[in-house]
Amino acid sequence: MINSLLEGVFNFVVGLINSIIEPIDLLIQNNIPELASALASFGNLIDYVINFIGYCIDATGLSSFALTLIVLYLTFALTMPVIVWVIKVVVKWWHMLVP
Amino acid sequence: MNKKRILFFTFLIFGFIFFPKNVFAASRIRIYGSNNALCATQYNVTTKSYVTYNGSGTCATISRVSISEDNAVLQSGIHYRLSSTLFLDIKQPNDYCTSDNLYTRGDFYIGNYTANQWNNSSNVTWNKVDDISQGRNGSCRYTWGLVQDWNNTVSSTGYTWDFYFQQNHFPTLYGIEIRRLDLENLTSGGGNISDVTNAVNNQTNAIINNNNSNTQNIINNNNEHFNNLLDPNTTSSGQLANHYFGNVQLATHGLTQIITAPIRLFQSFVGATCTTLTFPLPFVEQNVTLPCMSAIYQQHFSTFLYIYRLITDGVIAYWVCVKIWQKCKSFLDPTDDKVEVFDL
Repeated sequence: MINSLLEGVFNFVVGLINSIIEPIDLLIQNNIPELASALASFGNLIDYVINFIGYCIDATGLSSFALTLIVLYLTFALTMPVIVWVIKVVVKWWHMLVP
Repeated sequence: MNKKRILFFTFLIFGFIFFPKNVFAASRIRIYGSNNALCATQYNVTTKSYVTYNGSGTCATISRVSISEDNAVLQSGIHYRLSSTLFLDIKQPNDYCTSDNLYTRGDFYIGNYTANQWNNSSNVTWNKVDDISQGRNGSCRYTWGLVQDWNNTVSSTGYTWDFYFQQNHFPTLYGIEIRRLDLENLTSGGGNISDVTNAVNNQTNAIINNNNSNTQNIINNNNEHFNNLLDPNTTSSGQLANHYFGNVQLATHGLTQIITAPIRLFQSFVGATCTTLTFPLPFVEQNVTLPCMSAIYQQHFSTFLYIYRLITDGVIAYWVCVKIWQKCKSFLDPTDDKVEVFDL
């Protein structure tokens, strides 16, 4: 249940970001195409960098145990604050709604 | 202590002192010629005494020496040991004092000697000549240490111990002497030495096998841990992380792409596998291929890699614990509502 909740929250937040920023992106793409190209270049740079991540991780010589720990920590760092944030929002709404 | 008890313990102590732990039996020796019995040979032997046959002149060649007992008390379920030292003054056909072709085998029978009924028999190979020295009348004195162990299964009253010489190599007898013809009851003497030896050996082997098994388990565990350390595959963690982030549809353009870049980076991080890098060198127009480094580390610096990974594992584990603790602590802060992704 918690996993589904987390996944749902993430999809919701990412979808929210997409829906909020999508019009801005369209505006930039239609009105400032040079800036859109620059933003796309930045994204392409990230994609290019991602291609080397596997090699870089391998070159560090870290064990799978260390990598697992890092991944688990990142997972924790990216998920738990979301849960806490949601709980805080719910509590805040509850306090607002209940006199 | 009353008189009855004193008498009882006195008899008990005397009983222990005089109770025969080893069974000795009067025996006889028969010496067989190549065709007939030799020189009317039958010699009574008293236990623990010497029996010496001084051959008066040259006797005929002998084919067998038989040491027999017809008045023994061999109980069932007892482990016995019959031992003796046999001296023979003989001359071989080649007149050399060597043990070559001296005899081939021996037989050992247990049963009723008088009735010639044998309960058990076994072939014995007595092929060791302990000593060869100068014997009587220019003969050679051969010395054998004879030992026979057996578990007696049927109550018997006799045994015979045969000692055959090889045909065509029958020696000429000049004298015979037998010493220390002992029939020992090893069971009442505290158990069979060979049984104890076997038990100790079995126990030792069990301990060794157990240790080997434990050692092998330790080696397997170490190898498993070592292989885990050397394994760059992060599939399991990738699956775990992808459970949260794998189904998230991320935009690949514009500001959205930049904002969600950390998540994409993370996605690529958990599913990353090493592929060789190939890129062209400028000016020389040649491609350079960089192999995956972990294979090189493992091939040339496996020990250092192991130590390095142990250290980094420890440091990273400590760092992760501290960071998780800090993050949990920050959750308690009512003013802290940071959410990592949205801080970008």
